[in-house]
Amino acid sequence: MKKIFTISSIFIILNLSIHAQEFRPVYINKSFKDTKFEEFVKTIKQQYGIEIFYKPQWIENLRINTTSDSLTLSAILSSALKPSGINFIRRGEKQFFLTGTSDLTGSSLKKNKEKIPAEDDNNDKSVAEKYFKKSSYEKTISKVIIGNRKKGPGSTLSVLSGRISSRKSGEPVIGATVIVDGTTTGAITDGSGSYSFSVETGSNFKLNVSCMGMVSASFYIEMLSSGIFNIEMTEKLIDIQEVVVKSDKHDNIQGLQMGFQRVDMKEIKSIPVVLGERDILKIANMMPGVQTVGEGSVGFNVRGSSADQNLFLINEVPVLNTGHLFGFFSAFNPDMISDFNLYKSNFPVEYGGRLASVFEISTRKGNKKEFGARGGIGPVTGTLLIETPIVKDKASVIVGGRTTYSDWILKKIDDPDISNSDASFYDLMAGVHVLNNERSSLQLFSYYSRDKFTLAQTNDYEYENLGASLIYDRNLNNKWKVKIAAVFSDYTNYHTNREQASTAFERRFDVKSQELKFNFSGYHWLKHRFDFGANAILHNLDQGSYAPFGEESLFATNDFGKENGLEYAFFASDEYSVTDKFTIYLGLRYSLFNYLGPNTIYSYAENQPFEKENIVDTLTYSSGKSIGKYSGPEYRISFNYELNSDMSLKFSYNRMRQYLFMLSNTVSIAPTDRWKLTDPYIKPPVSDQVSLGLYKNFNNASLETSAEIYSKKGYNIVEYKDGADLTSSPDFETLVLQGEQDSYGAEFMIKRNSGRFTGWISYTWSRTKIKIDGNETWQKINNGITYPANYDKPHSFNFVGNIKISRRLNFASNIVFNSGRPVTYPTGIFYVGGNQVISYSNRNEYRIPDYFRIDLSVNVEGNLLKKKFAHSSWAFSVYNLTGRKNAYSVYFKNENGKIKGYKQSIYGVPIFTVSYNFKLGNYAVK
Amino acid sequence: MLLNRKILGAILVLPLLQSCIEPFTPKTVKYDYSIFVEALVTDEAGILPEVRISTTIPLTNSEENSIPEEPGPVNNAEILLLCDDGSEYTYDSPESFASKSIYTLSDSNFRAEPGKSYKIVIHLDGEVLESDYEILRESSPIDSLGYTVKTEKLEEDGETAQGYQFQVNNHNDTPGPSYYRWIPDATYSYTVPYISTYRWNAVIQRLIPYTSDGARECWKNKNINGIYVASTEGLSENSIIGAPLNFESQYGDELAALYSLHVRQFVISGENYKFWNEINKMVYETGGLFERQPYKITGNITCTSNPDLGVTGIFEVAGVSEYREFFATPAEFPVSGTTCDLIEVDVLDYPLSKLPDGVYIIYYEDTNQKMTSFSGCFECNERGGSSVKPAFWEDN
Repeated sequence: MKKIFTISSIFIILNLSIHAQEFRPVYINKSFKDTKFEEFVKTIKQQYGIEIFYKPQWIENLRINTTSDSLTLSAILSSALKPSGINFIRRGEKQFFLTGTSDLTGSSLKKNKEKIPAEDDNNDKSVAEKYFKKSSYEKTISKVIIGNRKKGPGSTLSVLSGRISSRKSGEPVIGATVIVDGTTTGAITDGSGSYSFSVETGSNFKLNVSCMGMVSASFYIEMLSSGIFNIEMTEKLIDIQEVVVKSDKHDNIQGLQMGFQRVDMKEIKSIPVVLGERDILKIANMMPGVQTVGEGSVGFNVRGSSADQNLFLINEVPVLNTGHLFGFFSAFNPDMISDFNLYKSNFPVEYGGRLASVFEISTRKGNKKEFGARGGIGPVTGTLLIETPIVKDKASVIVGGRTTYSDWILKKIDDPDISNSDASFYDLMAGVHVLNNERSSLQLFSYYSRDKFTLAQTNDYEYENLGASLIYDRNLNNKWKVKIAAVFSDYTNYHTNREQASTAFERRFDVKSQELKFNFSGYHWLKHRFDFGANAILHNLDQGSYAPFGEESLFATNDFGKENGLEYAFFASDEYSVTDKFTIYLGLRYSLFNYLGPNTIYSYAENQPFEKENIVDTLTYSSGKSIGKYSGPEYRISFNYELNSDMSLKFSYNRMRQYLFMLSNTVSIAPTDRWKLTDPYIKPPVSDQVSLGLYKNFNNASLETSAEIYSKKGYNIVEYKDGADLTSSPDFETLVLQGEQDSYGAEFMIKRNSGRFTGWISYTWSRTKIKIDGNETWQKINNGITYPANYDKPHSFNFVGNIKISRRLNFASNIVFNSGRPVTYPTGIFYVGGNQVISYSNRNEYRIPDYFRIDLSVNVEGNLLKKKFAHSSWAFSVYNLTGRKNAYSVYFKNENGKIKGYKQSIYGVPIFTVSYNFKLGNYAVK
Repeated sequence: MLLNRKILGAILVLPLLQSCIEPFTPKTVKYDYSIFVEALVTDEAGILPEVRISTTIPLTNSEENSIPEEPGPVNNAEILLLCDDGSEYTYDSPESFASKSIYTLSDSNFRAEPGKSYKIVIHLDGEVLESDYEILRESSPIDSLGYTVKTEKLEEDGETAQGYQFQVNNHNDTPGPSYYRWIPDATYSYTVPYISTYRWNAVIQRLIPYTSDGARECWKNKNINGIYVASTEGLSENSIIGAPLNFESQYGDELAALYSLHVRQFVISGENYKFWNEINKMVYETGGLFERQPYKITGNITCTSNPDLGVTGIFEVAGVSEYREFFATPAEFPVSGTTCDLIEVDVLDYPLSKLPDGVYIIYYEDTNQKMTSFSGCFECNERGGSSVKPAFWEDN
């Protein structure tokens, strides 16, 4: 294939030569007389395109005088600098560096016991470069010529695209910002590390590349025609000496994304551990707008939405149950995770199917350079991960597993139902990642997690998430990129109830989905960037049957039947840079849902409650036959107006539709809560969200601040009728009602990304209310009066801080404050047959006490020797330092005939844990 | 391999993890005045239908939140019982405050019949409360009572204890599903070990000779609170096997000797069953990690004149059968009944003058020792029981 691009120097960095004579000598055909050094530099740059880098103090009062007009530049510099003892080196064809009084050409470092240098980068760099970094804090900038002149003319715009990968492991760098200096033109790398955007043909510009946890880089680009520019980035080792990070962390200002949080492993590392693990979902919970019902509960409530309105994708595989061990642990092995993105609003068009959020989790792709292993052992869980190249630089395989080896944690809980319980879980992830050539990549990923626990010796719960995805990325030409993904997922839940032998039952249900997705992205035309695609998901739900368990059981098998549905969508978007400062994103996703046979559907008498007694007709549908259809547009619109280079104003409007939802009548998600497809009676929930945000960076983007307000209206929200018994009827329409949800709030965040102290403070004020008010009395919940949702916590404050004492020691702390969640209290007691019975208030009229917690953790890294077989670290942590007995719930119970109130806390004491982690290689291995 | 060594070398410091449950009283909870109606019609001979109307009481704010005030009386209602055969019956107003708003059917010859439907209409303060017609279902027999050994928390924040979880078994020859409610009550025997010869009179500071009636075996009745319901809905047979009734722990006199459990079985409607079952879940099965959303329960009595009036009521029409079974003291776990250790009094550090009035004394003349114990170790009635053997009692 004909190479249509040229890269002059980026890779030269790796093999930098210190000796000037390797380069063509530069003859200066001009003489200088008493010229100031600064002016001399300027002239050389203008006339020869050569840059000379220096520190101002070295050249104070330095004048250039030449006697001949055909001297080499090196000779001129030598004679001018020698008297003051200043040395210089030449790097590349067009760069000269003054090195101060040090002579770098002959120095060498000891090879033994060499420690990892404290700079941003460590290996593969010349001594000169290391020196430069340390002395000047200036970034080295290479010039890159893209494309060729012959191709250039004819089109006014050229597309710059490429892939960003880690220099150390070869893994793609996801979420890196590639941006033209001083403009909003640029892109953020996708899941395969690819980026693409268009610029004017023939233009020269500075390209800034930055990513959290990576050393920022800049390049001078000369854009002759469209072309590919692949970039390797170096992992950053946070250095206590590091004062200035001249990175261009502009993405929160210049990017269109709002209601968006991104966390990568680097950030995860600086967050306190809980029960020995750094749990990504617990970190997400520290973000503004993300709530949980309580400790030890599965699932999240994002901007006032119920937990089933979140889409958890791990490499495109949907995960329906994200908790292990009642939710004390997340179902994602932290070692495997490279980063996650959380969208709370302004959803990309390619995602749909849930109202509230998308958690897009990416795993590590595996080291393509060398074998690696890592693991950890904590008080409850142990993890092990192995990664290795299959073909060096081309293909890698990674396998990670996690298991619990003790359920002692349950035995410690002072509740006979829980302490008489057994629990075990494990999860496995495996991936193969292949870079076919410069243009395409293939990723095969599989995920399996399994939980089993026995509660109070009478109830067994088992559930499994199984999933796999095959993702193919290809750059079709310089303009188009296509991503094809085939995804499979299967969630199985099994429950036996043995409370009473005669009524013991078992039930298994299963939610399966198969998805095919095409996404074409990155077409550039003038200042537009187009994406379009389509996806189709086939849902197969087996609602299972309640069947007798054990020989003594009199339970009659009650089959809840199967459900099938095809959910598909077409989507397209246009990101239009109206001016350098103003960008519009217009997206439309049109989603359709077809509820398919085989199935049996009842008709009910008009204006009567959907109850068995009112069934007037039964319709049977054959396999594949359409029973009911829903469809509708989903708008995704946003604007970004950059007020100045570090401040922007953004707006977005989004509509979402959901065809698969979960039914729950418990306050937090129970392990048996079942999933359900929209059907002819249950309409798909829809939400409209508008949000407005102001973003401002300070101190060269090392301090990011944001304020967002949002308002979200949900329609057709599904709620259980009061007292609905899910075991009694397979006909869901008899158990649920639909209504409206109204959520609004304001989120504020201050985040410090660099320096000795990093972390964030966030405050959220939010409300979320539900109203189920049908025309008939039986169509109302709470008499049709609006009530706060279970997770309506108006005030939420989070502090996450990390202080780096040295590279081997850091302290981290969390401070969390939340308003107590709503609760329904007794407003009276009446007597029935000698029993005190509670008369409850309107739903959720009161609140449980406020929640407050402080955590601390200390992370101690092993030595920093560069050459070592394995590196280890210890994490000591205290969860709930103050031992506050935060209420998980407040409830009332009749004991010996009297009503008594109780408060239950999950962690009522400080919890101290120690965990040990290791990895092959030195401290710097990512 | 190094990695293994390192893993093995890792020391885990065990955290102290516990969930804790403690009593809690909300600071401010409003009180909603509402009326509760409980009406029962059965086919039992000699038991007249009764209606009890009471007001809700507040969940008090005192530290002792478990001791609320008594429910207020509602004595001015006019109540009618209608039968689908066209007959009408009136209820007598509560005769006195002491009867706690219990209205009894006026016609003492009334006996409800299976297959007939009944309805209640209440006129109170200008409003009308009504139930639907409820059919009286034929009673069906209890086959047996049994138990399993179980460990339970006696109080939510307290210790656990072993005990008997009593169970009921029945069958019903009619096609199902059937819905049941059980009202158990218990009688247990206990013995008093000592015969006293004196009692201390603290007023005159003298020991008074005393002669006991001599009964050493006593019987005590125990009302059992709790709501016990079950249904055969979803079962392949119209039988109940092992539906849980009350729990008796190893602490107390209940299981210390012979325990007699008497159960009245009500065959009720599905709607009544749902009412009781929901109350059960919201009053007895609250708390836990997967807490259900509580809500305001309404029964099958509604205020037809003003639907907004906060009325909760249950009108229950049931065919009733009874069953009694005896249970010997458990062999599966030790039972700690009332302890009757003797303490010597009238000694230097425990003079008679410090004793409260009425204390029973055994005087051993040979050693000149005066001994006492818990008064219930001398006389049956001191533990609330009676020395009169109940007619149904079987010694075995």
